[in-house]
Amino acid sequence: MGKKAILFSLLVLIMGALVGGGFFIFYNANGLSYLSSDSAACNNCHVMHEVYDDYNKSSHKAVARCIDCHLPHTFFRKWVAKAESGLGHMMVFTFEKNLPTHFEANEKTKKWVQENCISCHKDYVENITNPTLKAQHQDQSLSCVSCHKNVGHKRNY
Amino acid sequence: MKTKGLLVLIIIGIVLGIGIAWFSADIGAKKSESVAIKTENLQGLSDDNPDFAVWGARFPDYLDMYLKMKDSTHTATEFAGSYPYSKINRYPQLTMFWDGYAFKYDYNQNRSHYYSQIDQMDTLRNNKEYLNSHGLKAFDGQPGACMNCHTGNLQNLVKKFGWIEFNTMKYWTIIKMMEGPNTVHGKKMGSTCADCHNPDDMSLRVTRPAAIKAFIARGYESDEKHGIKADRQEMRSLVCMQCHVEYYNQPTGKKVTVKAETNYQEIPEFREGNKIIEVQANGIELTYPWKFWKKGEPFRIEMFDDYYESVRDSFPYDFIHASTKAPILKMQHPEAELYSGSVHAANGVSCADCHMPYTRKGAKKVTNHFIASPLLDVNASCKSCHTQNEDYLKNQVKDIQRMVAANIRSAEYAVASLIQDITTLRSEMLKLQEFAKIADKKQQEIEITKILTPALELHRKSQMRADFMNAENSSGFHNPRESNRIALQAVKYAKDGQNEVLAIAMKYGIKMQASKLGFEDMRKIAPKPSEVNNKRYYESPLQDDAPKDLLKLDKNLVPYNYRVFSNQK
Repeated sequence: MGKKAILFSLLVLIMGALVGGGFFIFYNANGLSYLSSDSAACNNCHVMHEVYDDYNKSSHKAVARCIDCHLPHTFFRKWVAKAESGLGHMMVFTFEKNLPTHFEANEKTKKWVQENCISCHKDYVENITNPTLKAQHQDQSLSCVSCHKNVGHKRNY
Repeated sequence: MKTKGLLVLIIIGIVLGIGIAWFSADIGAKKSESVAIKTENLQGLSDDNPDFAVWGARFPDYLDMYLKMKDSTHTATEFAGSYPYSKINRYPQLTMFWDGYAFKYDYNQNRSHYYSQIDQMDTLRNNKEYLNSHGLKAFDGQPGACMNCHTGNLQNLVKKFGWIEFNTMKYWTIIKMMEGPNTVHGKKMGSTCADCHNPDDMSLRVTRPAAIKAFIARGYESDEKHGIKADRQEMRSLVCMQCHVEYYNQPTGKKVTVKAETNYQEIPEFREGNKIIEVQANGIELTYPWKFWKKGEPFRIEMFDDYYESVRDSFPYDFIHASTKAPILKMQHPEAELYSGSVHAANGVSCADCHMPYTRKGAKKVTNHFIASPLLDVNASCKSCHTQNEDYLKNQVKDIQRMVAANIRSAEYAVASLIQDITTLRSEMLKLQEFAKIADKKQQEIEITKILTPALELHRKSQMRADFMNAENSSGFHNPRESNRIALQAVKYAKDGQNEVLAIAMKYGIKMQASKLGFEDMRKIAPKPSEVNNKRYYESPLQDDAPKDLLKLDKNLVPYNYRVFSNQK
């Protein structure tokens, strides 16, 4: 066997290990579950324990999953958001040693949550939201959760 | 494909492989971390050896957090924190309060729990020689009672010497008779795991005999393993409340035989032929003045008036004020009392919820054993319950503390003014023929004191309140309503006292005006850093001046400068 052939076999071996290792990680980290819409998938990440517990006792548990409030509803936007947040969360959870004890929603999430409140409750809230869409009410100082604080989960806003 | 290309691919593959392996290990570690903490493997832990190094070996994460307190001596907040500056320099009115008492000479912002014993060994209040040569000739050394809350070795010391004997013996005599090295794992050991945790299962417990006795008197049931019976959430306060309380040394009225030194010295070792002998001493017992504070009720400041009246025959005062001759009560860190009536207490919030909040350590949820001001981590402390953002919450706390601080300072200035006026009246009365003719100086003093008694009683009551608020470590945050009520009473009693002074002066034909001392007057009497052998006593990193920005803050509090505070949140 020539030198080149040895190197080539070695490369094949390493590739195999990479693919195998990759699959193992994907399995070990419950990778498939991230493609689902199950709320339990969000709780794979241990920092979500308290929020997940709260959610399980919440008024919305029977009718909404995490993503129903926290991700956009149209196909394309949803998957872009999922990929973006997923990657961000993974990086932070792996490398950031000083995660705050309680998280706060960022601007994007706040926007999505507000959008989703309206999307489900449209029939009831049309009378309220229509006026707020007028130009003079566009400062966004209030959102649905400003008052309805504890409907999803009690802590971590 | 070229060999070179293959080599590059192989190297990339190996690097990726290492990355995958590392990532996999990280996932595994986090998964195992998130499993609840195990409390098995507690064999070998017992009260015989309370050393935190031994206990901490079982709980390395917790030991790490505890040891962080060692290096946290620069975390000042506006009114507390653990930045060890001189409090008598920041609040010189206190030197007027404590005229004739050791606190006048040395009183610093304390450091964290790691230093509880070290700070007590270092303070000049515990230095007989220094105090004797600086005006306290009669001071004969602090009693062992001081160690009740400052040493992790307490349980063994009480076992060794006996409860009353331990309290009565002299501080440094006990240190010298302790076994073990003169380090933080020996004689200098401050608060430690065993003070709050049971070695059998690490459950919370109350260990201080004075605390157990006082809790039971308030209506708690005793418990052999945990000191008293209480559920876990309540225990998360009670373990703190065993020390963060007002206390005093009650004379037992009996003689006890205690060990004493032939040559008492402020050092941890015997030297110069110093010997231990047995002597008879008047027994004292560390006592919490809680008789009128029943279980489940909020503490009210009037309960201390009632209590100290009820024991006045056996315990008339902590000290006699050197210039007014009033019988003074000295308050010390009454956090438990003030907190008990607060909104947070009413809602079942424990001390640990804010001062030892649950935090993340990797994927683990742990009780933070780096015990500190909640202002250092508002996210972990406040946001478990409050959903507003951190800046808002921090500003709320600061605003409350500044408002109360303004009232506490007003109270202190009012009491200081009263002290000045009584002192002036005393010296004026001495000049009157009626008193000047009394040859016996002692008798002369007694006669004047008799006449001044109504004013002196108001001095006692007003100073007790101002002192209570100053000694309490939250600048009112633990209970803003009660704090303001106490501060207001201090001002009122001090003003009543000044009226008494003026009335008495008028009766004797002495012309006087009530004084109105404030921040600037106090800066003039601010004590310089203490010196021993012409050297500053405290060395870096210990500070012995008050930080400039804190003085600037105080300057703007009374009268309240809203212009400064409205732009400077």
